[in-house]
Amino acid sequence: MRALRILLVEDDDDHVFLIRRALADVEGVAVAMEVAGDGEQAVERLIRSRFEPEGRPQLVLLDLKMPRMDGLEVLRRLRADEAARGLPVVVLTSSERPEDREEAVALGASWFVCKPTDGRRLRSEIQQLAAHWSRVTA
Amino acid sequence: MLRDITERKRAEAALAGANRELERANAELETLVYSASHDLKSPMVSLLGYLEYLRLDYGEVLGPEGNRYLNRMADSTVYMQQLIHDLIDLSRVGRSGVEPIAVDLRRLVRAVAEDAGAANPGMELRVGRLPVVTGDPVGFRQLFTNLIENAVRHGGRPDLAVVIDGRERPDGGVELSVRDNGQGIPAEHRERVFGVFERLEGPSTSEGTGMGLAICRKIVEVLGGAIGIQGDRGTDVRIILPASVPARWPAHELTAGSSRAAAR
Repeated sequence: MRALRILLVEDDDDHVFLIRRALADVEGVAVAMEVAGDGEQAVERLIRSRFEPEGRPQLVLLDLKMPRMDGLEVLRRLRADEAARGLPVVVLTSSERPEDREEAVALGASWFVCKPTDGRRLRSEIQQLAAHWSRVTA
Repeated sequence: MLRDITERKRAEAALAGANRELERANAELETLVYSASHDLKSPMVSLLGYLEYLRLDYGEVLGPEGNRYLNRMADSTVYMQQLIHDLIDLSRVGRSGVEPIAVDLRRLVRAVAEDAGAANPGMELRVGRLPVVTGDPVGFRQLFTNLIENAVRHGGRPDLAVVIDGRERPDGGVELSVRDNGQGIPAEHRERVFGVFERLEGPSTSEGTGMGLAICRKIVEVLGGAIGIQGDRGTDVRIILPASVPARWPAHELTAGSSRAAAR
């Protein structure tokens, strides 16, 4: 099974744990996940990975509210970068603000997921995401 | 004479200053509630997320009593989440900044009533004559959703009938009513139920956070209107919108019967 390479951009360690745990047992999909703890780290990683196509993430899961550089700014930078422009970015956020959704979509987010507080739904939502994108990028 | 005017001017300036200060404090408070309620959501995701894995991975080890504790924790957390959600709603009222558009209340209420009817097959919902008003569609939808949900939740009977109706007022304003044949609200509680966190029953006897009617009142007051409860039998919620809210009434009402067709 080929692994789906995901870069999770998330500053909350608990959310990282829960997302990693959900991605560990997606049926029929192996996930190789790395984590960027804030927006600056994400931009650094995605620019650096330009030189190593094999290790380059195929999907970015992007939190919005983060210290140093927030998710919307990360999106803006990725879309302005010729090599990273086409990278699918799924916004995965606690925010329910319609303005955030609108802005993320306007900046070219592929999808917008409001983190469900219901643990079971959070788990299934993340697993469905991985299953969908492993089909799309296959 | 001259002195009189100077003093009046000074008083007016002081009043305007106090008003600005009040508006600023209000806006600040709403922003605070708004961001606090959003910041509370993130730990909620963690809490319920871990609860799920505690169940999945250690449910058997914990046994039935342990699982009962887990369920109680989950229930409380879900309730807390509802509170946060309603706080966000409450803080959003009047700060959305959307351009007012024409909102066909009859169509909107029919849609809300259809949802409520689907969730409560035993109840009857009738939608009467309602105008097309100019305003924020999200606010109006929330207003009627909350009022109908409230009727269902506190009506106390599965075959509840809810009638949503409207009429023109002599001053050019609009009067709307949402009335039901449920158990009603005692006169002494009719003002209290519009407060934040007010529920007549204790937290364990009913769903809901008690913020629904507070949100309704705020939506109506932002428009310069008023909301209150009447009725001897059942609950009759009356909403008055001032003439400053533009309203267009349907030109022809065919018959009373057809305008009160069942919503579902």
